[in-house]
Amino acid sequence: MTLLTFVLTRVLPGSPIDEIAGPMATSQQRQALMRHYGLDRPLWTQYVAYLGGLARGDLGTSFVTSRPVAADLASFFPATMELTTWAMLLAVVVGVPLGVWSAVHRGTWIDHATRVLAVAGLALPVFWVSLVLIYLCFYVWHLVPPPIGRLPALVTPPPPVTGWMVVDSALARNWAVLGDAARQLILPVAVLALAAVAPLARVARTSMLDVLGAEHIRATRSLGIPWRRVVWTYALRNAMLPVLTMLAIVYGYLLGGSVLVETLFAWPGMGRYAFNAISGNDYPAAQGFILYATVVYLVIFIVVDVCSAILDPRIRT
Amino acid sequence: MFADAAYLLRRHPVSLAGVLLLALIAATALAAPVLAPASPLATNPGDALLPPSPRHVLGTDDFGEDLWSRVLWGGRIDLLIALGAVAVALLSGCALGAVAGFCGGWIDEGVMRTMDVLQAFPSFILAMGVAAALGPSLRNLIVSVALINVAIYARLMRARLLVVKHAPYAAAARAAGNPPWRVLTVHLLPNCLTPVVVQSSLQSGWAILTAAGLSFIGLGVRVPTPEWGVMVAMGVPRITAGAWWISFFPGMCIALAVMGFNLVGDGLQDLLDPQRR
Repeated sequence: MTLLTFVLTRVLPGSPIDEIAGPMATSQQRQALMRHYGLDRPLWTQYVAYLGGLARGDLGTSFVTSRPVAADLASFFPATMELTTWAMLLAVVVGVPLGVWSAVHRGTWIDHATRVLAVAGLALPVFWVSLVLIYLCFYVWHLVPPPIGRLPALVTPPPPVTGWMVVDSALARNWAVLGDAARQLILPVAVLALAAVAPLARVARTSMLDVLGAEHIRATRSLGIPWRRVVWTYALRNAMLPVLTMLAIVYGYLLGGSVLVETLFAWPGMGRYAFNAISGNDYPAAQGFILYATVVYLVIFIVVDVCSAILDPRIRT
Repeated sequence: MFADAAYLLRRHPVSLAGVLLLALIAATALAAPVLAPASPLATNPGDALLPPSPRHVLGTDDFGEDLWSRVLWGGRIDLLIALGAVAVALLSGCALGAVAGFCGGWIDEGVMRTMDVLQAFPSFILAMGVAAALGPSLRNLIVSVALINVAIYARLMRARLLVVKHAPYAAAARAAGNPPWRVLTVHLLPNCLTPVVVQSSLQSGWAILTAAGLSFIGLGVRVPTPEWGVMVAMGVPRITAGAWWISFFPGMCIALAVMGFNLVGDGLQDLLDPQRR
């Protein structure tokens, strides 16, 4: 995996030296810079050096910001995390009940409406929905603040504790900033969540249908337990396993979507950092982002596996 | 085959809608030279940023290019990308999966672990990395979108092949003296294609979304090519100035095309899964 990201970013067209040195640099200066960053050595020695650094938690130094990539990513990470986590929460809160609801009312107009909604949600490009919503909610109706990042201009951010703007301002008891931060979040979170609702609702529906057809559910019904309780307590727990797995997949999707959404909303997160890194031939930064995003994705998968084991005793061995 | 198709369309009016939608998009894209009132690349600074009107049905962009003409021509490029990427992914993925499943042993291990690595990345981020590495062009865009789907086809193919490999007819084919490659290509492969076909319709939708996303951030085809993702990107600086039409119409085309592929894919899945009938 590290080899793939390394080779991928090294074969980027163009050289980072052009970006750092600028058009006025002499060839001697360029040589010196190449040596400084170790770019004159053969690729495999560069890779070994990179791996050695990785083992010590060193992702290299960004050619553009001149800061360690690990530090850069760590400072951009909370913004992305805040965005994707809220989006995920919103998607679960909306998508799962929607799926369950349409499973219970299978074949009725509720089911069909949900299906249409899911198909539409999967088909709409994230960047296009962002633009349409920015136009309507900001330009036409003035419902939300302009898409300029995590806080409006001229607002002092709260002292960073968690890096989450909403949590930090609540901790600092700065309610005005809390409101500002929350308003900035509304649109990007809604856009990302919209994309995540559809797959969640579909999986919830399919797995709920499977569970509702099972023997033990019919048994609980025949015991005279109210239908509502059967659905929301007995069936839901069993139906949640495929939904959990889907959560991990959807999270990977949100990480990818964050690149597009962060670029549009000027959100100072990893996605925008990666976008800038790739357009500026900043190898270590681009490499660092791909690796970081993948590690986050894998960690989420592990967490989901553990949760599945907790929910389903059959998986435990 | 036709009976199945008729059954599918009767049972699923939604799939019928999908088929019609795709047919409409494909037809307008193919007929672009006839339907488009202007060349997609004809600039006309005097007509820049005009809202939709009878003369320019969908308005014009920064360079005064007619958006209706560009949207029509864009259909060709986006459908080409989708079908191209799916074809590349399907051929290479199926070949890899078939060889892995048929040979087994270290070849199987090697191929499938490589596929694991590919799937460990969030797909859009992998496509971003590959597209950036290869440089922005139409061909490279197709390759990077294809690459993220190779693993899906390889897995499907291998799983299916492991099932049919030990079927009596495979043993019979071998016993009749067919060389292994012939058993694989003539006797086994045709029986593994069904899940692959279903997957392809769903993947085409994804391919359009990914390709448009990559072009949108500048990693695919470039301005002024009439590609829907690029066209949406061109409208970004104008959206907060009220010129909504530049981004709106191309984006809607992306959504419609993806929806068409997804509806058809859904219907196919229902058709091939007897439990869901």
